[in-house]
Amino acid sequence: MMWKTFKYSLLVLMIILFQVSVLPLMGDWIQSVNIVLLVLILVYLTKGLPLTLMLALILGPILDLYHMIFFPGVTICLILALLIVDAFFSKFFTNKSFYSFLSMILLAVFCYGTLLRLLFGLQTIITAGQNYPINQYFTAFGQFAVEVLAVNFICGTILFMLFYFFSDNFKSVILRD
Amino acid sequence: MLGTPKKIKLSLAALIIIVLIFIFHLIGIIRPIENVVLAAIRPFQHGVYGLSQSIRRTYDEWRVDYDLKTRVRELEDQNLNNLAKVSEFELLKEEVDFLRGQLDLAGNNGWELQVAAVIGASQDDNTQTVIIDRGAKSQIEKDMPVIINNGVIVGKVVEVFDYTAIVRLLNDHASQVAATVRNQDGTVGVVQGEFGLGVKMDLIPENEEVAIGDLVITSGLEEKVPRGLVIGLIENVFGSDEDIFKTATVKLPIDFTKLNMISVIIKR
Repeated sequence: MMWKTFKYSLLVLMIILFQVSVLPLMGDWIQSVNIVLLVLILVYLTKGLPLTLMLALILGPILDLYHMIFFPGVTICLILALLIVDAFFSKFFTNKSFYSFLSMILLAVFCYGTLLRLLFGLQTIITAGQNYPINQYFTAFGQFAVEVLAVNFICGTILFMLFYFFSDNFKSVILRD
Repeated sequence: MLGTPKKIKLSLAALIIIVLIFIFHLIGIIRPIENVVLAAIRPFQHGVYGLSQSIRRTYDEWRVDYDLKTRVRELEDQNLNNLAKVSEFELLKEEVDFLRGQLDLAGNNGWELQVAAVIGASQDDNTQTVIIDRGAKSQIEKDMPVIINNGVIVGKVVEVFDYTAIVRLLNDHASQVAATVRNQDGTVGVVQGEFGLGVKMDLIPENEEVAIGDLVITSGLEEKVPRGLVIGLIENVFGSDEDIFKTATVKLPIDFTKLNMISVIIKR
């Protein structure tokens, strides 16, 4: 139990440090990597929804502290994105394959990005008034969406490969008589 | 959407937790916990941010080296044309350096500065912010201006915790700074960010002459922002004769992605 708690605390700390202090510095496209969602999807596939939601409820509020969106906007977006992914996974995917993992990452990143912008747009309208050019948000999102999805697709592939080689969680099981 | 009763229960539990977090945050009950979490992460951020900067610098150097090799030929062609521009730039630089010297912020104006290190940055393209390692315990308050190089404003403090604070950079879409142009009219306006792409100066009266290369500084109309902090140089001016106001884009003198040490003016 102690070891598990330590392990997950370390995971949370690493993710926060990566998301807040490493990725934003790494240039145009690397900063589009959403390490939080990548790890959460990985945890979802290997450990299930309850633990993933718990991790999201720890990571979300901490990320919220560093974010300009209203508290706990990031947490709400994370949880909703995960629930949407879970609904899709339950209905359309049958196994923990590479393709389902990547599809879920793309879906999660898209949902998270859209929800975050919707909430941010709403907040902007309320705080900055009706005259604010809110449509610029969505134009900007359109421009970045493809890049964000592509970058997370590549990083998801790398993460899957790493996990595939160092863990048995994704390996196929052959049933014999 | 969720299917099984167990998942519905889980979702409801998550929702309740979010609502509770929101309420507790709103009334400030969890503020001490937030401060403890941020204080616990801060030492790690110092190391990691420094390491990230080193990696970024190495990468930048490598990229610059690579780019230089491929662009030498192009630059040679452009060199002659650029000479006139370089000369103009040098003159402007002299002007900026002179003005900065004149301002000599901390020393001559009696302002009190709090030096802080940048330990994090915004997580997405919605916002342009940086996290610094000083907060309320170092007398930092909301709306205080953040500067570098003894007088170039980079943004304002928007959120303060005990040991950390969040700074909204000038190029953030929500950033607004009262500014004035160093021209004959002493044009005043508001400098606003443009989604991380740059900054523009709005509300410039149509009848006032603003030229490319004019220096833009803070006007001092805001309570905590002193007059004379350098914002940048006018890059382009937009607006027709029918408009009441003109808009100008402002070229920032610094690259916000390379911020390392900054100062917060804690007392004017």
